[in-house]
Amino acid sequence: MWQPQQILPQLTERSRANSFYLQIAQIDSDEIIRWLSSVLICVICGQPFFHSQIIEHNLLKANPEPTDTDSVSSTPSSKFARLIKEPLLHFVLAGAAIYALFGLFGQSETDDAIAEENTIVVTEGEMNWLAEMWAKKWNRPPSEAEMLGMVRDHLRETVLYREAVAMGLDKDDVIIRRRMAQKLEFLAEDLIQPETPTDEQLQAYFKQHLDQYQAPPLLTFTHVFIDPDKRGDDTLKDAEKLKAELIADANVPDANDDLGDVFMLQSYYPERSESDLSKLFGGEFAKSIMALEPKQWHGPVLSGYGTHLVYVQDRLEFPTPSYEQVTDRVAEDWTEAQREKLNDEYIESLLARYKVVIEGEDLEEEDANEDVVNEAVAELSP
Amino acid sequence: MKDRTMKDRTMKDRTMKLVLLLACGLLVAPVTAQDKKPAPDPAKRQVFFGEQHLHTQDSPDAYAMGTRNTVDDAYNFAKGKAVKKNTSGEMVQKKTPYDWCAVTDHAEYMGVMPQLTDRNSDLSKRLKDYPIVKMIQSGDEKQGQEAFAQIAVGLATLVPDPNFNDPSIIRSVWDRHVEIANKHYEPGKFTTLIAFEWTSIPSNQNLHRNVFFRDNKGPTLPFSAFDSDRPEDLWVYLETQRNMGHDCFAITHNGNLSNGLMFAPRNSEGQPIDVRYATRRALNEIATEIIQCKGQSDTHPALSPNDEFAGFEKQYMHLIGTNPPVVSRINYGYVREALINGVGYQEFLGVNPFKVGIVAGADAHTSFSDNEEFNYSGVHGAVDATPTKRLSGAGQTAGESAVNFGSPGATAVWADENTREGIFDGLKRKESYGTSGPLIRLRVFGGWNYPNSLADDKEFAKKGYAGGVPMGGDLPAKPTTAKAPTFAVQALKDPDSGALDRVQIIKGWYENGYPQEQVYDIAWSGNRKRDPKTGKLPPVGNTVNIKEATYTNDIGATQLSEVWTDPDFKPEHHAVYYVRVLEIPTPRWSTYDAKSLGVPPPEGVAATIQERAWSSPIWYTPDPKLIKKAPTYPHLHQVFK
Repeated sequence: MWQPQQILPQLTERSRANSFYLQIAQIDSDEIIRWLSSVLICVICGQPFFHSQIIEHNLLKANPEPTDTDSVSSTPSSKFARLIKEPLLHFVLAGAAIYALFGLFGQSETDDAIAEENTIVVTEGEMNWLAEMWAKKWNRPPSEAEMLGMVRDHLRETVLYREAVAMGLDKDDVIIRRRMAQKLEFLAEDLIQPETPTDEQLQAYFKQHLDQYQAPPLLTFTHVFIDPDKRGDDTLKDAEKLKAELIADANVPDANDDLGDVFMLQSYYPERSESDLSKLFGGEFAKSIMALEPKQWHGPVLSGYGTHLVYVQDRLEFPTPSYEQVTDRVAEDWTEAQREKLNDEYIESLLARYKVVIEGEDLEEEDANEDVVNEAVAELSP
Repeated sequence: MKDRTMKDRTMKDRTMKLVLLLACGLLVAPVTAQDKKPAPDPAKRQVFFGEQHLHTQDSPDAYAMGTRNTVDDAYNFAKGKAVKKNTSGEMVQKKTPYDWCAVTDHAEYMGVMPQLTDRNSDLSKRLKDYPIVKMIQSGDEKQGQEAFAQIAVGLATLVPDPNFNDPSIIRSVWDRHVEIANKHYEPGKFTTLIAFEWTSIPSNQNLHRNVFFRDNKGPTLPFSAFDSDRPEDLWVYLETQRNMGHDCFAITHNGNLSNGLMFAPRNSEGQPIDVRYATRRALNEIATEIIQCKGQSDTHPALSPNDEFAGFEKQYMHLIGTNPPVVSRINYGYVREALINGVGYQEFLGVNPFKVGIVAGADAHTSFSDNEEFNYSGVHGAVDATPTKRLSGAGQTAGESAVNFGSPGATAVWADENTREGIFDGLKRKESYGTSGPLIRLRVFGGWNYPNSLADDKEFAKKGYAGGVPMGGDLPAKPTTAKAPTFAVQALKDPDSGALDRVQIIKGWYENGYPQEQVYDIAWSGNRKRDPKTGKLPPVGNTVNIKEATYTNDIGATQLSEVWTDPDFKPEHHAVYYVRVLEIPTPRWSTYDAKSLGVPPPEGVAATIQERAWSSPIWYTPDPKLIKKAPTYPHLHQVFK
């Protein structure tokens, strides 16, 4: 049984009534009167009650609650006019009327209801829409025969669609599932707007993510390339031999030295970050030489090219930047992170309404099950 | 008469320019005298890898394919950051970041689609009752597709919808593009170029050009195919921009899909090209893409029957958007043929219209410059976002199956520094080359007397520049003592890709008015010997395990270096030379996908490919005195009549 209090605690009495629309199929006939009166009150007061607006309320959970005075202060008549035009409203009222009739007259009127259910109404609006689409495509209005053809196609599609829904073919259809999920996702994304951050929030974010703003260390080094294509099986032996010579020599190599085999890259690189080095030598080599102790020979170090001996002249570390130096970047990053967080919270709030059961032989233990569910929840979060 | 007025005008222009220059000179002279730095040493130039052809959600076709990743995402991805790909939900990240990137969204309806979907945008509010906008905002997939289809018809027929092609909208989008490009520009670390794509495609024949600017400001508005679909008119725009102080040039792409129009000796009216056309073209169109996701344009097996490596990534062959598909004409569509014809036209007209440098690109419509074969995640939005979609054959773009698209290429530029000026000037100098994706390092010099020892000389670059010209240059005048030109080539593998199989020089020349070509193997890995009968070098071998999509670098070389002298040189023939470097075979992206799905690799495309790099050419123009007798041009007379 659906229990509004449990699922949407953050919703006001007014919007809770709206969610009846979402759950129209499961509605209790007892509650119809309450619901109808709520709708009427909403219409009269010009209050929001469509499901997109419900989502808005739902999403605003993390944000300051919008004051009701905002919506009340706008002219009720214009809102009313807008709502009156809204096709969704017509649908809702029509639906409400059907259920109300159903409730009032009970079983005796079942035949009428069935008759209603089996009616396909092609409205004037739909006819106009078909004609408009035709005109767009062919640059002229459709003839009577063409119009008839289109209506026939439309009826065909409608009847197939209705029968398909009746047969439950929309269930477990990947495309339909994805499309519906996407619609809600887009809608939610449009509505999620992080607030303007305060200085304290930004400072706190900055402190938490210091490493993002820390300039990377820079390495100044000389490397000696030992070409495996030229030396074959002797490569490593030659490298060790050369290393011993270089250590014995005790000279500090500088920018002018060019040691080892001919190599297309420079042998001396001043002040390069790990990312610079990965572009030149590949990621593994860059990572391994960033950790080397300065002022001594190292190696052999392997790269995507072959074998190297490396001498680190200097490793430059930078002081942590102050908050003032990077305020703009922090504000940008905070907003991005906040948007992601709100998105995640929204999906989580939706998931919280469900009990998730994942079946499987390996998942019998409660803990394992929980892990998988948590993982799935984490993955589902945008 | 006409010539006279032209001349008068140029004279007047020149006088004006001179006066202005003098005035400026007087004003800035004391400052520049102090700031003047010595010219940078070319031997210190570094190679910078990057992207010069990329689309984001601001391109209407990308948007229609479901791409919602932004210009910011494009730059962030190129810089090496992990970015979420909206069409698959995956985080995508380059293994090796790029040094520079230019986003080239279509100038036509640039940024209009995202605004139409966003109900809060000014454009949406203004056009809220407009049928196409209503269809897009209906939230209904079918209506949305129908709306995009209608917009696409406008693009294809070049009849713009004035509601969308509104200068005030284009202006605001363009300003935002410039702003974002400037935001991501970190001189010395990461360069962005202000750029756009001019999308001329008369009757599905691709004449697209990308346009690039040197400065931080760019033009007030991009030039779109709605303004004109004739390249000559684009050149007027470029010339005007340069006169206004915004240095710029255009780069052509996909000659392979131009139906033989891209490099035809005909202007837009179908008339034979003349000196004026050739001069303006050479000035405005400084490079061409040799490969990108819609196939390679180096050459076609039909044009180069003796080139055993010509069949690379040629399966994309249909004119964009034709249904039923029409195969693009081969003649005049490929770069090698254009380079060779170019020297012939030089001989005949006195000017080479196709004096182009070589670049490569992605042309991805995802915001992601996906050059890493092992890291490929599709190039057309939702159409090919997952391995299943890419291999199923269901994913089609413009009528071509996803499996026929190649992974993006990469462009390398030799530049003094990683700045807008550095990259732009490097491209303009044609000191650039293209690769099919891997970051192969390649240096080429042409001169008259490089010693063979230069190949193993540690001062390769210094002596290379001192004794001749780098790729993209003209050979210096032939010294009387020199018998033939020498070329010094150095190539180094990508540390994260296959080892090198061989280095080749491709020579094209004109003989008695007819185009000729020859491919020479000049350096190779291992101890392979040429077949004494055919002169061919045996294949390098293949270490690929197709089922596992793995390979080893047990074969091939880390670097190859050689000094080569043209054995067939005739001083009286115009000639063009460029270098091609081949890797050992490695798995194609479709083979990596097949492995991840646990299915055999798709049929119709190669399971393994030899990735490669193509250098910009070096040209040889004979001294008129060396031409002993007036040559006859039966072929060229035919071409120009």
